[in-house]
Amino acid sequence: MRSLRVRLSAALLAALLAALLAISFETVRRADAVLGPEIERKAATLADSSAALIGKALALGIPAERLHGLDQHFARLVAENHDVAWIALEGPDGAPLQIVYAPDGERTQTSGIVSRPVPRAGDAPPLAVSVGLDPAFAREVVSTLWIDLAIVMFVTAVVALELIYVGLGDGLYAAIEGVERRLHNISRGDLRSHQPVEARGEFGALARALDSRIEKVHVAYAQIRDRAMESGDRAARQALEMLQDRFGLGQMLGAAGAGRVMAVRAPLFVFMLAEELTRPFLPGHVRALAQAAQGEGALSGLDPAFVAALPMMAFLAVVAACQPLLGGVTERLGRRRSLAIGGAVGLVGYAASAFAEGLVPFAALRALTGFGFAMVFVGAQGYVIDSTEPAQRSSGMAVFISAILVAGVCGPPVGGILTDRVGVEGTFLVSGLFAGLSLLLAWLVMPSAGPVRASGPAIRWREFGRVIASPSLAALFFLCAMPAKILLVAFCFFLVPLQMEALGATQAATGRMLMIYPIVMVLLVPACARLADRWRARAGFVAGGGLLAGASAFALLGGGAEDPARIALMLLGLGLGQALSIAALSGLVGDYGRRHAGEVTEGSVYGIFRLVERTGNALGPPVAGALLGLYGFADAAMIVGGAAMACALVFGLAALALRPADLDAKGAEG
Amino acid sequence: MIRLAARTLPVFAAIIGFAMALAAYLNFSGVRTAYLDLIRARAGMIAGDIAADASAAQGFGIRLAEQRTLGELLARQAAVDPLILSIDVAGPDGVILFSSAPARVGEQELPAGEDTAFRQQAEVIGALGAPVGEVLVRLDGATMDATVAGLRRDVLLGAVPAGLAAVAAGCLLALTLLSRLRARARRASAAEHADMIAQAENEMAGFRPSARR
Repeated sequence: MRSLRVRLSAALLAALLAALLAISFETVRRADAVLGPEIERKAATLADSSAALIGKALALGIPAERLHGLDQHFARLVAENHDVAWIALEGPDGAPLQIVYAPDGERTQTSGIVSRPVPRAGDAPPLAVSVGLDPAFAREVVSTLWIDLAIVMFVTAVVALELIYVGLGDGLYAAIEGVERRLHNISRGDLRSHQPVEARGEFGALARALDSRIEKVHVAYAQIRDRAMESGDRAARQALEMLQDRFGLGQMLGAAGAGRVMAVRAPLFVFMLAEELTRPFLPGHVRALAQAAQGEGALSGLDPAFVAALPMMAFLAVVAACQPLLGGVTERLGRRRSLAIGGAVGLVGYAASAFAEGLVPFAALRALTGFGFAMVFVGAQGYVIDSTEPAQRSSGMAVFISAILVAGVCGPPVGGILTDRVGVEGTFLVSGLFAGLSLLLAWLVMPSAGPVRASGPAIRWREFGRVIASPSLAALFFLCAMPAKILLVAFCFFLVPLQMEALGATQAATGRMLMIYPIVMVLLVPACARLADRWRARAGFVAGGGLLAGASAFALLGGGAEDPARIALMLLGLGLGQALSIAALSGLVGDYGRRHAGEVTEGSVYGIFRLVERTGNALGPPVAGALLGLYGFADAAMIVGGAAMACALVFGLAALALRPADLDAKGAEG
Repeated sequence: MIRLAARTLPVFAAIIGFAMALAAYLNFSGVRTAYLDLIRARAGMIAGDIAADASAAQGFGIRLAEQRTLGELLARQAAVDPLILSIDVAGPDGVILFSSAPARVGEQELPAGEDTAFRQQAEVIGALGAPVGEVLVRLDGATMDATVAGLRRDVLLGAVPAGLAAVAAGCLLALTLLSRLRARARRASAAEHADMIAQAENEMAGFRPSARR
């Protein structure tokens, strides 16, 4: 289904871009009609204003040829007014005494010229100020929207990709996926039998027809092999074994990797999108609330940047605290109901946040939203675990993680565009709508009662001590996992949005900046994971990735904090570093857990690992907020980055020194 | 295939329709912002020029309330621009001293939230650098709203054909892709189709265990 989904999205994108071009051309035509008269009026005002100024200078007896500073005055006007191509002072014969063109070069083409006489006393020769209008202004107005429009189109295609399961429905999706998988395998010469497709309809029938052909080959092969066995023909048996290896005869494939896990993807994606929409504006909005609260005397001894971090910490702390507890709760409630409850809580949380006045109510609503987020996250993760056998767990979790990452790519830029146009309150309401939509999708798409497996709590606290007592696991958790999350949250969720606001960037620009990290992750994590396994160098990838991610902050050295390109470079470095380390880190947890916490279940080791990560998330905003208040953006980022580098270095040296006795990863095992 | 189309195409149509509506809105809001910026800049220039003249007169020791020629200047400026409702010069207490609309003289200037007009203002600076009054240009908000509403209608209506075409093209492409997959599957499910299954069958058909003994 993957290739069909990609092709469908590409087709959709092509259709959308073509329509967008048509709309944009139509808008340019209409904009010309609306803006044209206004540009002329403004040009007339500009000419009047300059003519009056020149008239005053002439009245003081300054000759027209010696009006010092007129060129700078004209240059300023042309630079400030993008609808102006040139401005000139013209002599009695109409020849320019002084003319200044727009900064992007001389423009002989104009859509019109507006002239105003310079007021002069008596019979002095007439002078005029003329303004040439830029014929491309309307086109420029629309073309500046193209970045936003292109992002909207891209996001639409991605959303279509995510929602295709909803459109097709469980049975049809499975049937189409089954047909595509069979055709793909047949074309590669892989004739292993498939799990049967139960869906009715045309694609279900086609899948069964393909199965029937494959089955005939298997039956024929079994007969020939039996005959060979009976006859004791060794050469024939060897040839048949080769045939079996080549075509996978007599073998059966497991269930499709994603399978029923796909049902959770749409509601999870939509809820995560709701949260990601808030990324560009949230720190700035909270800081404004914090400053207002401090203006009224609350928390007056604290730095505004630190106070601004508190509501963000409330959200992340609730997520961290709830996750270990909600595993059992969502199991008892049922995964679908848990997602629906999470969606409903998110709907209330986001919508109420739009109207929250004051820091404390806002922080309380963020905490409430964090509870909804945790319900959705844990419920969806539990659904993946319920719906997959251990052999399919990785591909099931890949569906889960990619939904979150794709939401991370799409949410910030769209959130920024929305905030620029409908404000913070409007964007919170849109987030609320998305949370509500996730509720609806969970109810419509997910099965009513998933296969619930009886199990204990995700983390048994007595196991926590055993895990932490292992130096390897403790080093991995506290030198790698936790700093990585502090770094991510401090940079992407807190420091960069605030700095972009300080630089006067639009929310849309901030949103585009925040796309860098998830895009790098989406593109590179699978390749880095494969390389770390192939080279059996998980510890090296974790240490190297941590060093690179931390070092990214030093892109801000030497005044880089004022340069958006350097900030983008920092986020790129963070993405590259964490793409290197994230999958290797997860694999290493399993490796070390098996070796050093043998009596603790793998589930518990991973549960504790996630808890440490979430704690790092929650620590990110207050750490970044406190440092920002004390040292400013660049130094705060470099301190956090430097600390992360130090942690990664210590871990790397320990891994190197103890290898292979203790810390060496049996990479491919995990 | 009709059932398949009936199930899948509404989803595609909804997604494309939503994207087109959003694109049209972004186009509209871009032009609206440019339109309002042009008017704001023009009104700002008018207010700034008058404030500069009044400030210069203040510098020569003529108090704002005594600058009698201002009334005529304001009327002349307002007359040439159909969008201007009034140009007022108010003292530091907010009372209007001169106006292009004489009925407003002596009234209290309304705060921004209580006046439906589109407003642009500039401060008149006294000899000591402190503000001694304000020039306020009030523009016809209703006319501007009507222009913006017309623009919105035109852009959105202009987007309808393109949007419908995109919906049709997107659905057609989706249907084509699904049809091609179905056609491939039909061919592959036919017993005589020459593919890797046929190759495996051929290799097995030629297999003679007894001949290899």
